[in-house]
Amino acid sequence: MNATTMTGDILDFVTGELCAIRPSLPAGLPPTARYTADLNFDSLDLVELVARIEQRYGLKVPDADLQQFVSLDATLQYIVTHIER
Amino acid sequence: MNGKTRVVITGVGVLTPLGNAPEALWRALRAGESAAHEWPDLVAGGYRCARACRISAFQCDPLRRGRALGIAAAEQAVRHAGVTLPESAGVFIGSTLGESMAFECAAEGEAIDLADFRVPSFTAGVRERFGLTGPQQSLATACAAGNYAVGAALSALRQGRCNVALAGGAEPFSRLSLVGFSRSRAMASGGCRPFDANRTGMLLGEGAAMFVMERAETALQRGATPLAEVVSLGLSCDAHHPTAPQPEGLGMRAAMQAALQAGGITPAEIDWVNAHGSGTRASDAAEAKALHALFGDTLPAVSGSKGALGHALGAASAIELAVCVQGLHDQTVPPTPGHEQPEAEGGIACTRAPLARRLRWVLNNAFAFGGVNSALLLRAWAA
Amino acid sequence: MQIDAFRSLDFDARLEREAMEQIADGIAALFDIEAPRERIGLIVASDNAGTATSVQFWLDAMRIGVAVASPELFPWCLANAPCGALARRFRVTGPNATLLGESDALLAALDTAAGQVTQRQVDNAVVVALCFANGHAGGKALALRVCADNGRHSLDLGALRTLVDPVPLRAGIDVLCGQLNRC
Repeated sequence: MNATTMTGDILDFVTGELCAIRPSLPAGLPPTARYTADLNFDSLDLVELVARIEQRYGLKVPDADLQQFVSLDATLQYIVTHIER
Repeated sequence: MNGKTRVVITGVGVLTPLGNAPEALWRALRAGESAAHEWPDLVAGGYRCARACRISAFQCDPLRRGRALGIAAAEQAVRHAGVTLPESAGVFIGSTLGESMAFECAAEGEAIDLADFRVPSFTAGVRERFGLTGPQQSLATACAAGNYAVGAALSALRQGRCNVALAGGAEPFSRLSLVGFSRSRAMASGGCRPFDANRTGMLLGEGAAMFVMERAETALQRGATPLAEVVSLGLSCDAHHPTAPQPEGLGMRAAMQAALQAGGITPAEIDWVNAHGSGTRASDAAEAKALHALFGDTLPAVSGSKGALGHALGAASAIELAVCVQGLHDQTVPPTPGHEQPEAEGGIACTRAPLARRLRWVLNNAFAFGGVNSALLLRAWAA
Repeated sequence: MQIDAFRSLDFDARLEREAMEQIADGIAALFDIEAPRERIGLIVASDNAGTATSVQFWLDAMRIGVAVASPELFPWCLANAPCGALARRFRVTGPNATLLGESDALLAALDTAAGQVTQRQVDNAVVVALCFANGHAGGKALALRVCADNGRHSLDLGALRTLVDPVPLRAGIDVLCGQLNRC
């Protein structure tokens, strides 16, 4: 799987989970979408999203890293970085 | 009987990770001890947070740990009070999940009728132990449940529904709660550090505290020594979020204000606040705002014991009420284990050593998940 | 005690979170009053609030692994979650309580509500009895608004006590509905 495909798959997964957590979200979220400012996500939504990412990609995101999950972009970056590790 | 009828605590029983008697608990708290440590079974079980405060030396059926803790605390309180409970005595117990282990086993496929393992099973257990048929309530208001139970007993006694009441909270250690709070990212990465600038979260505890409560007149007539007077319970609800508190502490302040108003005193008269102080960033920040907004320049001594005992959820406010009773007896505010440095802006400087001072009025705060806020007003007994 | 409005409904959602959406829609009219929200009390009496979600939460945690379990359901494991949800939906910031038990819990909730109103801690108190679906039966809810005076219905708690204590909460709800419908 090349990097572009992987990133695309990750984007699809995260976007899908965002919409599963908040069914009222519109389709086609831009990668720059910020969870709190743009999507009105709260703390509970965010920890649930991170949990689903952990389950899907076999990650264990430490509490201290949660602050990095501020947008779709940043989330993709985190996942790609930690999968590669 | 009216709203001004005086109600007192005449007996206290506690089961906690720092001692299974009020005096032992108080000695440990005065010494600044903490029961928090890593548990091998939690490490082996793969829990992200394996640090907790648990009671080691208490043997019982694991499926009935909550009820057993409640009964043991009640027995202690009754002995302490030197009272023969009439059959009409009331029982008021608060908890969060009830017998968490039973829920876990049921989920894992064991044939368990959970109807027998909810919070009312604790109340029923205490009633059965003492042959009681009086008024009863099982309060499921999570982290505030102990305060609620004592408040319900206060009402029942003032209305003459019973002459004696057993009230308090019981909570067995819950793996379900451990996972829930851990995955909600509420747990501390090290110790629990109430109101500390570097706090990272809560730790889970367990235990029970039960009180014998009577109308003062009745207690004095039978020659009992009141340990403290329960004056009022203030309540409010944030109506804000399923887990996060209203960030300005508006609901917390409202609960404290309601307790003071019902008790007929001003904030300046409070000598000591036993804070909820769970150690989470959000809850302590909200409580700090509430305390500053309510007390202004007259902020009294503030302490918290969750750094010592962890958060015993439904039993927490009852255990901490027992700490308040001991503090009133000793005329000393205990230290706040885990608290070293308050926030630079708007922080709360908690006690870091035992603080001897004249203590008359004490507020016991307990703020539950879901924004259920309670503040119990206590007074040193004076005839 | 004086009751100025009540609603009852059956519901079929299995977990508390979904059930509360149905319940809140069904009892919304009771909160449609011109009153300061901090002067409205809210008390839930339930026999099994939190049970279904607790079992589901732990089942999921065992399946997925405790280290990576989903936290989403956890707040609903607590029996006081339904009362909190109603408070949020209807912006009610007065005293909020959850009592567990059978009809004794409903009686205690009504008694507490009456006391709060009489002592002027609140102007109105809404008591909600909740039996969540349990695999043998669907869900049942009854909500009553307690007021100070001039209620449409008058309830004698003492008489009610002899009728419903110690029957299960489901049966107690039916008896109380019958009484209210006859008023």
